[in-house]
Amino acid sequence: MIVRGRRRFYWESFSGLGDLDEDLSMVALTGTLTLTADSNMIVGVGTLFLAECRVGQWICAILNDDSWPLRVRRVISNTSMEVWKAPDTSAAGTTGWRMARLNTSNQDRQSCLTGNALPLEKGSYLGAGSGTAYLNGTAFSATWALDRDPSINLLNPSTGAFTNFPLGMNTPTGVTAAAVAGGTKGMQGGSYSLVVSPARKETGGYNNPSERVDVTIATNDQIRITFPAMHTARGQSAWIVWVTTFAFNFGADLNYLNGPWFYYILIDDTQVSSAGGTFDIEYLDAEVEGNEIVSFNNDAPTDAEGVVNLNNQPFWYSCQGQGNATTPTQTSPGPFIVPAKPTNIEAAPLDLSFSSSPPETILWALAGNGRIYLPTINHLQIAQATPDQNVPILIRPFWHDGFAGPDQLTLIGEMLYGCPLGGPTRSSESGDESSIQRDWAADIWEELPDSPDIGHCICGYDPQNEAFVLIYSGSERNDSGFWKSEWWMYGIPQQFWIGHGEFTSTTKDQIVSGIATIGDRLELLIGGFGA
Amino acid sequence: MTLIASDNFTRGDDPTSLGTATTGQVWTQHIFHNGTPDPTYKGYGIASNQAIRFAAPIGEVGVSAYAVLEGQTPNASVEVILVNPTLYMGRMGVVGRWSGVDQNNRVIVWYDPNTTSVRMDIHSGTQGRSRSGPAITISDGDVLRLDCCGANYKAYLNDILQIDETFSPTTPLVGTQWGLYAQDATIGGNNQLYDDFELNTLAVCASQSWNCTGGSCIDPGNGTGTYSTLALCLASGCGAPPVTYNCVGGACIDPGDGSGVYSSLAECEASGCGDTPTITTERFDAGTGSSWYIAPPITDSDEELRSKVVKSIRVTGKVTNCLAMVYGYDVSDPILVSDLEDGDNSSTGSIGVDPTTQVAQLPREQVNVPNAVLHTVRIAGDDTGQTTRDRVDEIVAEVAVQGARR
Repeated sequence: MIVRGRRRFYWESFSGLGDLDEDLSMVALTGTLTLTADSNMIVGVGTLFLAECRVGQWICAILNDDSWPLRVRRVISNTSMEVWKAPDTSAAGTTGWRMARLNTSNQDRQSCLTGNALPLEKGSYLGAGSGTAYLNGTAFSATWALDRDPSINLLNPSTGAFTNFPLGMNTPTGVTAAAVAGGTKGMQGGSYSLVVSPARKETGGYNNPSERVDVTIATNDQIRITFPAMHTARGQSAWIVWVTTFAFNFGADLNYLNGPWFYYILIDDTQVSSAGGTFDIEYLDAEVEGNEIVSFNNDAPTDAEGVVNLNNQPFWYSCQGQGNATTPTQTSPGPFIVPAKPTNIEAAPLDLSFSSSPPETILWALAGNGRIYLPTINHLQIAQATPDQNVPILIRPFWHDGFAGPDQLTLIGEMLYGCPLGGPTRSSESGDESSIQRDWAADIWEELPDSPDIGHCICGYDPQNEAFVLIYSGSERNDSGFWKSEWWMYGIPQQFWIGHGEFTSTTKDQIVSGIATIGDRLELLIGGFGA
Repeated sequence: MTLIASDNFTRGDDPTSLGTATTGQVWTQHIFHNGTPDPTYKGYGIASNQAIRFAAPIGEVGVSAYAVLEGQTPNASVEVILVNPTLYMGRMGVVGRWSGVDQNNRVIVWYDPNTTSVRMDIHSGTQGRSRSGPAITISDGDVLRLDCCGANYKAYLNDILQIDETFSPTTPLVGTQWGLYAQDATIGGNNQLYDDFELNTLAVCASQSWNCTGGSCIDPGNGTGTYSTLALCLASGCGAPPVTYNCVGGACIDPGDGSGVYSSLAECEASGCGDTPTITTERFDAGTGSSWYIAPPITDSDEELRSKVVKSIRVTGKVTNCLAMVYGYDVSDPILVSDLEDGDNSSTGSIGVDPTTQVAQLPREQVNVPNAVLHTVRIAGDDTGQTTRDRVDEIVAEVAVQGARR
C-alpha cells in the first residue's frame, strides 16, 4: 500500500502496473554464455562482448525454461565479462538476451538497448548507443540503429518519415570558381577567395571547409561556383559559402588569400544538384562583414555512449577511451564529455572536450539546472559552466560513491536523489559534500541488497505520487521460479517512505530494465523469460 | 518385459518393402528358393496398413520368405497377429535368432494348415529340431508367439503354450534378428497378411545379459554379459543416445548426448523456444488494482511486560476481499516477520471483513486474543478490477491488561 495525504494520512492500495501495449523484443547476444553459480564472472562461447555489451546494460540469460538477470559490470574481453549480481545456479549454453532501456523524449517514450536518442527542436534526433531506436514502442521509419559512432535521424515534416546518417560530412574537394557576367549588385572588380563547407539544411549544421578557391572578377560580374557531388551518404543536403570582402583586395599583403572568410549563403539541394553543379553569387562587403567567420574545427563528434542536452547544446559523453584488440580505434566508453558547438550541433571538436576528474569512465549523464551529472564507477562527478573562457567547463567529484550504470540518479526539484553503490543518497543539487544525506533511507536500509547486488538497484521519480521510487530489479525468484523486482517509494512531501511492493508474475520474469519519467507518470520496461 | 521393437504397419502401401517399423528399426528381407537366396521372388510389402507377403506363383514351391529387424539380443519374445490365416495354405509365422545369413541358423514357429497345429523348427548349422503342437482351430486375429531363452524355446498361440522345447546344439543359436516367416504351399495360395508385430525382452530369462559391443548393446546369449538388462546397457551410454532437445538461442537443438531438457522436438517448441522474448512497457501505479496488506508495527500498547487481551478490532476504510488477523506474542514467543508478510500463523486465523464501496467505519470484530504482551493486526485485501482503490484509514484494536482490577 501507499501512504497518501499530507497532514492526515491513510493507506491506499497500489494500482499495479498499467500495460501500455508497447512490447519490445529483446536482442540475442552472439554465441552462448556459461554461468557459474555464485560467480560474477561470465564466460562466453563464440561471443562478441566487446562490440555487443555495455557497462550497466541489462541482459537476461535464458536456457530452456530458466533465466538469470545480469547487469554488466565490466567487459574484459570478447569472451569474458563481470556482472553485478552472480547467477544463483550454473548453466552452460545459455543465450544472453539484451534488454532495452527507456529514455524521456519530450512526451514520448524512447527506447534502445543502450544510450539514447536526443530530440532536437525541429523533430530530428541525435543519438549514440546501441540497438534499434524506438519511439513509443515503434521503430522509426526508416529504422535507426544506434552505434558508438554518433548519428542523426532527420525528420521530413511533410511526410513524417525519417532518414538517418552517421554524423560527419566529408571535406569537399574540387570546388572551383570563375567570373561570369550578368551581375546586378555592382560587385566590385578584384580578387576574392572563398571556402565551402558541407552542410545539412535540416539542422544548419556543417563540417570542415574546403581548401581556398581564388577568383578574380570584373566590376558587375558574378562568381560562378562549381560544386562537386554532395556527401549524400552522410545526408549532406547543402553547401555553405564563406567569402572574403572587396576590402581585402587592397594592399600588397594580398589579404584575400588569407581570410578571414565570412558567411555568405547556404545553398541547398534544391538550388544546386546533389550530384554537383553551379551556382552564381554576388555580394557587397556590408552584406558579409558582420557575419560569422568560418572556423576550421568542425569535426564530427567522436565515439560516444550517449548524448545529453544542456541549454540546448548537445554534449556527447563517455568519449575518448581506450580501444580494444578487436576495435583498436574505438574510443568509447571513456572519461570525456565533448560538447557540440552551440551554433553548429554537428561539430564536436576534441579541443572542446573535457575530462572527468579524476578521469573515470562515464557511465551515464543526467542534465539539469545548468549542470551535467556524470556517474562513474567511483564517483558522481558534476560538470558546471564557468565564466573562465580558458576553462569554460569544470568537472569535479560531487559524491564519493560509485554507480553501476544508468538510471541510478534522478533530480527532484532542487534535490538530487540516487541509489549509488553505497546505498540511497541525496543532496542539494548545487550543494557540496556536506549536504549529502543517508539517514533518510534508514527505514529501508536493512531491506536493501548488499554490494555487489546493489548494482541491480535503479531509481526514478513518480510525479503522480510525488515520490522517489527505488527498484531492486531481479531481486529474487518467486515460487514459480520467475524473477521478481522489489520497489520502495519515498514521499517527497511526506519526507518518509510511503510504499513498498513487488512486481511478480507466475508466468513471466519481472526484471525492470528501463525507467523514465514521461510527463506526469513514471514508466518502466519490464520482462524477461516467459512461460 | 521391455519393448524392443513394434510395428503396426500403418503407413502408405509399398509393394516391395516393409520400410521402417513404428519404433524406428529398418526391416530387411531374405527370400530363398529351395534353400538358395533368390530375390527374384516377391517378398513383403505394405498393403492397407498391414504387412503383406506376396505368395509365389501357383505351382512354385520351396520359396521361403523372411522379413527381419535387429533386436540386439538372442533372448526375446516375438509375436504377430495372423490375419485370416485359414485363407492361406502355406506356412505363416515368426522367425527368431536369425543370424542374417541363411536358413541354417534360426528358429521358426508357424501355423501349419496341414497338421492344424503350431509347429517349430530349430536349425543350428547341421543340427536341428522339429516339434509340433497339439491340433488347434486357428482364427483371424490370433496371436502367434515365440519365446527364446537360452536353450529353451516356447511357442504360444493366444498366450496358450503349444510347444516347449529345450535344445542345446553344439553351436548355440545367437542370432539377434527377429521377424516374419512364410513358406508357400505346394498348391500356392493367397497372399499372407500380418498385423501388430512386437518384439520384447523376456520378463525372466537367466540367459539374458548384454554387452556393449561396437557401440551397440548385444546379448551374448549365454548369460555372461556385463549388464543384466538392456536398459542398464543403454543407460551406460552404449548405443545411440536418445534424441533430446535444449532451447539454445531460440532454436531447439539436440545436444547429441541424450541430456536435453526436452524429450521431443514438439515439447521443446511448445515451451516457446524460437519465440523472441519480450519486455513490456508499463506505467507505474496505473493498473487495475492489486492484492495488498498492512501490518502496523508490533506494539505493547504502552504497557510494557504486562500481558494483554486483544478483545476486538475495527477497521475504517474502503476495503474489498478483506481479511483481518491478530498476532499476539507472549514473552519468549518468536516474532517472525515472514508470518506477518505472508499472513501465516496468526493468533486468530483469517477474519472476514465486509466489503465497502466507500470509506466507512466497519463493524467491530470480537477476537479475544490473550497473553499478548505484544500484538499487531494484519489487514489484507485485493481490489483488482475495482474502479476505486481500497484504502485503510484506521485500524483500532481494543486491548485490556490481563489481571488488572476493574
